Amino acid sequence: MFIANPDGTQVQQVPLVYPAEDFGIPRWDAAAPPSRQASSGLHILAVVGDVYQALADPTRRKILDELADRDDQTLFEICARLAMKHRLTSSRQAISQHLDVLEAAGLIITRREGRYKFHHLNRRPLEHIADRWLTSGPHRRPDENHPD
Amino acid sequence: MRITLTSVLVDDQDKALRFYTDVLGFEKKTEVPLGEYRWLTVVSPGDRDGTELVLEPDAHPAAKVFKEALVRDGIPFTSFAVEDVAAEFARLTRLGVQFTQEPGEMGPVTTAVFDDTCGNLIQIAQRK
Repeated sequence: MFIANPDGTQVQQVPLVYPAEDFGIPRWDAAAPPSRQASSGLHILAVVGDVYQALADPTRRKILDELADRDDQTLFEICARLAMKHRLTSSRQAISQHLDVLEAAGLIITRREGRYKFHHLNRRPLEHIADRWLTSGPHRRPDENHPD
Repeated sequence: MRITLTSVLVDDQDKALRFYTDVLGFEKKTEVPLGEYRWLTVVSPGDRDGTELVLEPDAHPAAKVFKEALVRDGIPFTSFAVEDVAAEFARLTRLGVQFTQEPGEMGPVTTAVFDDTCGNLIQIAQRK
């Protein structure tokens, strides 16, 4: 999405995706000095994966199904649901890597609560997909440049 | 060979004894002073001769690291059987117990996961 120049003062926009807020992702580093913030008012995301790539894997789609069934799950609960409900016997490490891909694509937001870590389903990137093809309202800018 | 003991690593034996008896409802069976710590076990109510749960101090440096890593990923190392997970969830929640996983169907079992306040996540499970 946006990458910082080596001196950290500016950002370059690589093939346009969406600003972080559109994904419901909190400001990347609100505590950073202004020189490290994106001058455009948009915020730097360290890693942004592709939503379509993230959705291309059946195990990752099952993970999203389970989070849609009940949001805010621990890694243990996600693994248990995949194993017990879907007979998916991937290792915990493999599931953890799937979660990393989903998080990089903005489809999952992780939240630390005390000593626990929960995974939250973020639907915003999916809304962009719906918006792209299923709506043709005036809010859709004709010059909008979609990612591949 | 029979299994007669199993252990949970607790950060404070007094606190653990209160939680495992007053809140969970187990009964104290053995308490033997051993220097700084005690040999301390509880059993299921009404089953004095059943498997004992040792409330074992987590004083070893590796134990805390291990426990924290499990908790971070929501992993319960210990599981207890209950008649009715939903009823236990309601009862324990009223007593202030914090759950990291509310009751949910996991194939042939219904499970929930709570924090034992001694550094562990505990699963309760009920066969359908």
